[in-house]
Amino acid sequence: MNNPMNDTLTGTGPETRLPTGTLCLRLGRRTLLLERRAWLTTLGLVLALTLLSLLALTLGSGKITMMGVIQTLLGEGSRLDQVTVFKIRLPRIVAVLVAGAAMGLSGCLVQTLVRNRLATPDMIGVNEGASLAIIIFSLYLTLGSWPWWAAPFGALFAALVLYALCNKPGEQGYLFVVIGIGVSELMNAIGQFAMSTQSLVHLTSLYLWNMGNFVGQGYGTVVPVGILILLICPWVVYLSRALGVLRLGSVTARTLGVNVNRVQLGVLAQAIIVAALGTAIGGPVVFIAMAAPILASWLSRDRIVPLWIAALCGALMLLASDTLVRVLASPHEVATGIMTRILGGLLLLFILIKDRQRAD
Amino acid sequence: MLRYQAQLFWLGVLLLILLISLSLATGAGVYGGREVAGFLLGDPALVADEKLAMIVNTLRLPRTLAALVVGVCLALAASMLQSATRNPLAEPGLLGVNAGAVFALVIGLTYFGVESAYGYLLWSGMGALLGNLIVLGLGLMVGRSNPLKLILVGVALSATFGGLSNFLLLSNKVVLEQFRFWNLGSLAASSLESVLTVIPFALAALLLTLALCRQLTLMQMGDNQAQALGIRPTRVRIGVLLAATLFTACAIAIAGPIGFVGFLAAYCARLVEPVRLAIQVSFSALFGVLFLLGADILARWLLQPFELPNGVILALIGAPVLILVVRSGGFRSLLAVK
Repeated sequence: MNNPMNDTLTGTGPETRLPTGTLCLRLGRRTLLLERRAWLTTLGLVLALTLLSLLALTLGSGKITMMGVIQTLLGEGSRLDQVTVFKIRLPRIVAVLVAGAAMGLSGCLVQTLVRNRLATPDMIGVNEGASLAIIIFSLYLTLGSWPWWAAPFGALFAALVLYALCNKPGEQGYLFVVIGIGVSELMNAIGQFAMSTQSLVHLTSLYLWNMGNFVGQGYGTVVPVGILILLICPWVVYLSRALGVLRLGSVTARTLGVNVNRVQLGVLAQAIIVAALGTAIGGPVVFIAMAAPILASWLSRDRIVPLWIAALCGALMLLASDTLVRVLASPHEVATGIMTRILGGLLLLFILIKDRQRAD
Repeated sequence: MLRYQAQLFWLGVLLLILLISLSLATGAGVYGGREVAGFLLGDPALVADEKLAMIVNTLRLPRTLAALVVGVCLALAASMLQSATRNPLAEPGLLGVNAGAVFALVIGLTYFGVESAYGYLLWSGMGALLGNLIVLGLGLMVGRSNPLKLILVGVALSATFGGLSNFLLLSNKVVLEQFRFWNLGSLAASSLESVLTVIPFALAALLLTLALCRQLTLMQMGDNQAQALGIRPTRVRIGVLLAATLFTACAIAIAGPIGFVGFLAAYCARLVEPVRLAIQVSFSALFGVLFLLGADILARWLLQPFELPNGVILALIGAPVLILVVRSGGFRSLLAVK
């Protein structure tokens, strides 16, 4: 997302001096202004993601070297290696990447919309609502198959509950977040209640999923979820410019010709759907949605965080947590959500201490 | 005590007796109230029934006693923490102290092979003390301007401590087996032995609380006023911290982390008596027991033949109350006096 002021500057003529640190692509009458730092950050993140994915493919029970992994990916390598890489490790990594990116993106959208770093879908109960819907559908309605498509409805329900409880979400700071925490506790309790109606033996995988778990992922959920998120992406890009203008304040945005209500509603809908889809894959992994945009803003040194950098950061952080938990806990399997919980709690403490001057 | 307060108190006590009998009379097995009452009163025909003896002595009696002790402990821990932090939302569960105590206990189980009831109490006590100190320290660091911040600190601590405990548990199958008996946040597995071990410590904390009530009531006017009346606020606060720690440790050692009881009980008690702590604390203890025992009976009764964790029922009641309190701004009432 570019700074809107820069766009108006470049629109005045070809001789206009470019703002420092930006590149300009021209195609006929259209120009695209690129911030150099943002693009370098993106490149760096993609590189880090590739390396970390290779590392994650290499680690695990059954020894394959990194060269072996690369050869297997290129179509060579033994049958055993191919099964290990393509059937076991790759699906998990793809699932982690898609879920992480979805969480980072949705977190950045909500944070930007309500201008509150702590207001992310995982804190305010949207993810819990999504997982509640999945729990209820998978327990009572769609026995056997995985109802990933139910997640957005649950997330929407949670968001409506939250909306009914708060009149002006953006203006209330900590109050909004604490009410959201109450909503997420409530959603969680209803989910636990629903799970208690079944005998424990049938529920092991659902319990693990509810902690945020990527063990035993196939392509069954990730592929449709990923396609849906990709389909939503153009809409996100379409609204992102208006969202950037909205950050200048709703009055300013209205003067600049932004339909404030429509943009807010649209961005909220995007955030809810993307957060819910991200949850549907590996369960309500907490704190990634909060941490990713913060890391992104540190990297891009910009108060307006580019959405795609937040998504990349989310994918990177979730993959790092997942790999870390695999290495630390081996030979046991520990849910990825537990690792993000440990690290995310520390991050939240850090933010609270840093923000102590805020008085709202 | 005002007249309506006295009426309310005796009404509560009546309800408590009713709930205790209900708790003894319901549960797995075909035995109802008449058999259990006969057994406890020493009817020779019923005392001879081994199955009944087993059910009452190892299941229903310990469970009811545990609900009484844990309810009092959690409610008083919350009341003490609220007066120490001047934050009406403070509660061991919401502030992450419970999670800290559980983490310490899991460390004890994993690395030090804790097995006895004293060991449980010792380790959860150390964890509760550490958790209280961390929360109070961080509470000072993030500033006292907004009571909601302390709740966010609690969320962060709960997440970190809870995550660490889960990590240790899941990567160590032996401990997980042992841990299962202690059952996260449920009274189902409480044994008579652990309850009896804990009772003296809970009583000590209770005495400490009663001794501090007068000073704490006066300290509500502010530290300066209290000092003028000859009270040493720091000393009182240390006493409060000690009492809250002991109460939390006792509750955790018996039943594991049960959230929201303390918050609900202390909040209702403040509605009944906002100023005089001696009365507030008695109501808090009464309400704590009523809530926990009621939730425990519901937990057994709602989803037969399955059993709900107590924490679920309490969260179903407690989370909406928390939302309403936060929303109505009721949490600011304590900040008016500084």
